[in-house]
Amino acid sequence: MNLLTLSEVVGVSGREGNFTVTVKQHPRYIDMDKCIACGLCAEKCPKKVEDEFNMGLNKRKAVYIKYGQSVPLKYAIDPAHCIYLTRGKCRACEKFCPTGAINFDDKEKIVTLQVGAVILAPGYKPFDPSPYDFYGYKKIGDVVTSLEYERLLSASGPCMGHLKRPSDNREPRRIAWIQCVGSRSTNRCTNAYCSSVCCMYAIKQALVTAEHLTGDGLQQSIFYMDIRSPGKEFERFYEDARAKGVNFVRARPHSIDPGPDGHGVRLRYTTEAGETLVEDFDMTVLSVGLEAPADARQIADTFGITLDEFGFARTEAFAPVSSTRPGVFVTGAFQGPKAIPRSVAEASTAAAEAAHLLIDARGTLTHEKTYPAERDVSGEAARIGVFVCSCGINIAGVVDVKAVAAYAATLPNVVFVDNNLFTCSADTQVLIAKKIAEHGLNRIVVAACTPRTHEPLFQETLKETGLNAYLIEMANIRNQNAWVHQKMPERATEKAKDQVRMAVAKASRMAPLDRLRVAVNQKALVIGGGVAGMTAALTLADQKIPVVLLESSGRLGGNAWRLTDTDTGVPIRPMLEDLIGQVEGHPEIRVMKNARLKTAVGSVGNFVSQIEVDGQTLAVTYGAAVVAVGAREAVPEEYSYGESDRVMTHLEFDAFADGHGVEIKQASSVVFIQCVGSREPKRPYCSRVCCTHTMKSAIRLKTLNPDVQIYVLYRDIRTYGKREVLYQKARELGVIFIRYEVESKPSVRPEASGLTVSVFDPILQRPLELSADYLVLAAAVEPNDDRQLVELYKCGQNEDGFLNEAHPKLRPVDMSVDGLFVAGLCNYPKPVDESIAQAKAAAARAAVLLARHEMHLDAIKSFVTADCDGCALCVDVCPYRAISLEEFQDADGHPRKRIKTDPALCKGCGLCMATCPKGGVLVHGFTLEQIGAQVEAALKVPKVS
Amino acid sequence: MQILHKIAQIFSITTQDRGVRIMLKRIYEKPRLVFGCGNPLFGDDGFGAEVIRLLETEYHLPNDVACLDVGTAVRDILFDMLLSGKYPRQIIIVDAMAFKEAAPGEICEIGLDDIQPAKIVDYSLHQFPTTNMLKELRQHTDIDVRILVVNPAVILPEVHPGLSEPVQAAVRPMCERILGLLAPVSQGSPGGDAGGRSLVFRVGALAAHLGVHRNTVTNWIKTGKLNARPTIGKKYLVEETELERFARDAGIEQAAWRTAMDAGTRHSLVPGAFLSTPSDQKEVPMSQSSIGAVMVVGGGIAGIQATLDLAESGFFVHMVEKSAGIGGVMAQLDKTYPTNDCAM
Repeated sequence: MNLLTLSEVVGVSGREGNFTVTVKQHPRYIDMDKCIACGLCAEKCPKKVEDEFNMGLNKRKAVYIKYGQSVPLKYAIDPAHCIYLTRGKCRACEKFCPTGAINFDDKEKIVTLQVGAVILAPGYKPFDPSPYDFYGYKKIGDVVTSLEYERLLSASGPCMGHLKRPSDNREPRRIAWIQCVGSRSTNRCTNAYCSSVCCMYAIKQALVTAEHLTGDGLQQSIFYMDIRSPGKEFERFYEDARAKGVNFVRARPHSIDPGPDGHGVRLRYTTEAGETLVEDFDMTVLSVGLEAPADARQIADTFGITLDEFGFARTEAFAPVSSTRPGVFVTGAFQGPKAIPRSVAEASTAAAEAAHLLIDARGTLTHEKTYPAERDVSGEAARIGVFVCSCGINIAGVVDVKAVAAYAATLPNVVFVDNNLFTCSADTQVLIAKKIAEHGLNRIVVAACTPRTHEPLFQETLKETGLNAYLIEMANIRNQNAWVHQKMPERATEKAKDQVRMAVAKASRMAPLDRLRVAVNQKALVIGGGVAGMTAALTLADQKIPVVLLESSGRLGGNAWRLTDTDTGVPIRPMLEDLIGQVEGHPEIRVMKNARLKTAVGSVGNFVSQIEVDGQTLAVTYGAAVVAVGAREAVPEEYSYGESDRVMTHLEFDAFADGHGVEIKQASSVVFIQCVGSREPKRPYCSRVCCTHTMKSAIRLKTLNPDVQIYVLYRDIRTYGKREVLYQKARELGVIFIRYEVESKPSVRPEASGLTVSVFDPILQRPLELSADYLVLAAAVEPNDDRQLVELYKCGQNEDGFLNEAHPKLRPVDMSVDGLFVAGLCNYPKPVDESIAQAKAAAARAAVLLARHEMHLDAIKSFVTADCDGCALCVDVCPYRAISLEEFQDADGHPRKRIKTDPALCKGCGLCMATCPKGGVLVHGFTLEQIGAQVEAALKVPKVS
Repeated sequence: MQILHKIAQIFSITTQDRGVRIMLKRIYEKPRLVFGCGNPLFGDDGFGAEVIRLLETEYHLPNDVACLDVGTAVRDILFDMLLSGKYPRQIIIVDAMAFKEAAPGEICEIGLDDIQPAKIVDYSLHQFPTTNMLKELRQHTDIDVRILVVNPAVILPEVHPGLSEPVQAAVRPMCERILGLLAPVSQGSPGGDAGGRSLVFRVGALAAHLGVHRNTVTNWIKTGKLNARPTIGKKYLVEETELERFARDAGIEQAAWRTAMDAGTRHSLVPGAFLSTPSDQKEVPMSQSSIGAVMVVGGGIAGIQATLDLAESGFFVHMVEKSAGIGGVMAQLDKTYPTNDCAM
């Protein structure tokens, strides 16, 4: 890939499959090839600038890196502030840069690129509250935005993670959060939508704050309208915060003033019961919403795409990442406010769409690197080359690198030693290759920094010279030595010698390792024939991957048959019929109905399953599987459900309304009750879809008959994102919303002429009786019984029975078992457009794996030795279920047991090796002999030959 | 279509008794167009209008030709045409324009580069005098653009209707010259006679016009419900009559399929395709022309994930990031909910 930083697109022409994009690249004034990120330039730079990464809470220099772990880890000069570039004098950085990387002659470049597709992921802009005086932001020192607060909490932030309030740098004790700042507001700003993420981040900040502060008198208060936690494990997180004492106040402070002594903040607000309160806080955090990026209009014009009414990129419900211009895809918060998991999943969706569009050009611009044949070093005695790095002055400023190099030369098996200014530099790689050839080196030790960042580079150098990539050992004399022992140079030098001695001891015992190659069966299995499963199958099949699609019932479509339209009013039935038609007619898809998965063996790349179809058992082989087994509407157990025909669930009411238009139109009163079976001890999660469903039903009823009385009894309205406009519309149409507490739920009395619903109104502070022709229950979404599937694949599910992803943020559609992917309702309740996006993402992730004929696995894997006696202690500790027990007959014909490891599942963590009392299982690259030699060298124990 | 209304208003002054709206519509239906330019209120500048009047009243033109007195609005009409993506095969422009060493009333065909600097503004985009729309049309489409001019005797600075004698005498020769230029119609020319016209469309664009999902259209074609033949560049060819039949059978609103028909000629329905590069017009199959590289704009978590997925599945990725390093807002977060994992 090609990373263009400090760049912007200025022109796009052409069409899907073949765009010409013009990119303007602003000068960095630093040669990226030479910069080694030592930081001297920034140390010497005299110009201080507000650090935008820390929201201006502290200063950086005019030459800077964005943050410590920045990629690329290369400095840049900020031309707006650099003294030389603005006033023509200084050049201090140039004088001190040890590698000559500063280049003030750098110029703006215009680059023209040919691409087949474009993915727009420009992100969002946090709402800026400074134009609105009533928030007190920028006027009251201790009012900060949530993103500023995030930096205050961060260990890499301006106060190193020791929370301090801005006005006097004292630790705050009482902190308030104000929700919906710049969201759900059409009064002062035009952001009518809900930003979807602020409730959850405010709760997170309140909880993390509690971890930062100790002592008495701590208080975190969140002032909110509705708490919106409609995501997986979100409701538990909210309940956890309540249990830990975070104070949730359903009120909106109307006056935000400075505290009495000029510090802190004084909030005035009115409770639901009508009481006005004044409360003082040490600090107030404004939970700012997400807006379209500031340059959204410009981006839209450049790329020729359309924006929606809020300035986000316009997409359609069933094509959630397709912009209005073919070949241009949009993802992340640019499409609409969303949290990280959906951004990550939909990024995969966009990748899938681009891959599908360009399927015929796949691999035409990428190439596999080739290496010379590997030299066989097995018969050779160890000949070690040691390269000691000065890292500019990073190491050499503390450690006497010359002395370390001289010492290394005295160590056994060492035949060559060199000291380099930067061992990682390109010219040193050439030097290493030359020395390997000259001196016949067969093991390399690099005493420099961490193998996490640089080992792959040296492995590459070794491979290019024909040496096995695993014949390198690194001694980290920078991070673990020079950086932490700056005040003790002599002892640091001694420690560096110890580190090099240990590395050499291990290197002497290193053997070449082979990266395992696993042939990939380039076929997919999709379990579940609902919208998610069918979409996944189609996405895979369109990438020319053969798919077997399993459906347990007799027809495809699942729950979608019972849905009417999306939140944006797009009818679902035509899409569904169309999807089924495509799936059933696709040459690469084999649909199996009335099918049941009976077995599943194997691992990523190679699975085999038995499938029972109409009494017959078939074997199916596949390299990866997408699990989309769906969920169902729960059967309510309260509110007279089942006693009266007038009480229905959402799906039942939709079906009823379909066939009884006249009755529905004549109804004079309809009551909706929310959270029926959700957010309760039995199902402590929010079902995500029901609030939106209620809004749609209420609007439909009000449109049919404006005189109908509609009451919605709710706990929190959770019309997240752009769905908020439905809530506003329902209110405008006169739908009446009455909140109830879970402790005092409404009650229902069926009578001959109708229903009577009783509820306590917290605004009127009195009980109400509502007569209703119909009562619609927003019944929970509950998972199907997936225990058998979980047992077969050893995959995970959460306490509620929803199948788990590998990581909720970073791998939202991968499952913990490699080669398995998850989509749709079985993962968590979600509307159909999100199911489609997730299914495409899951298919994209599976396609990444299935696009290759073979996979390379890392060589650091466990292996069984002759000392294994089958005690099986290691079987239970393996977190990846890579170890199984097998029986065999020894040479004398006696039955014996031993373990077997599956390299495809093993991640080389070494838990088995640490557990085994007999040396029966070891990990390549970290054998007992190798580690033992290092320990001996560390303790200077005379070597036992 | 705001521009069209505006032009229509202007026209109703100079061409009172002609159905202006119908006239304007014809320029989108006929593959060969003759535009008479100029303002009859200023002496010989009215030449274009007079030529058109004569062509329409006294000459029998082939029925695939539309004549139009465009007055002083040729710029707007050309711009509209560029935007519409529906291009005719030939455009003949008639105007009065002084050229060197010629007697008043002399007729000449000139090249695009010979247009007088003073006149060029007529053929340029408003406020973009360097953009000669005639050149655009000739370069980026295969429209045959011809310019026929008469050397005027007088173009008076004040209002004075009526042509001078030599220019009046040139009207009839000009009409004959135009007739000679109107090349014979070749078989199957786009937008030809109304019956049996073929439409070329992309699935997505047709779906957008008919208000259905693109997969629905694909499905119609796959199942043979809609008889459409695949053609180059992932497009389909369908007879207009077939589309009409299908739309009626499927109960699609007339307005919807009518707009689809209007929009779908030999040029794609793809929005945003105007003023595009020449490579656009090369209609080569996708498999040959598509490029195995993707641009990702934005280096936040979404951009990074898309890049990783694409790079791992055999595509070259160019990632464009505004700032000096990638990571986006997520890198600024301390921890993430609901697991309180470190965001980094």
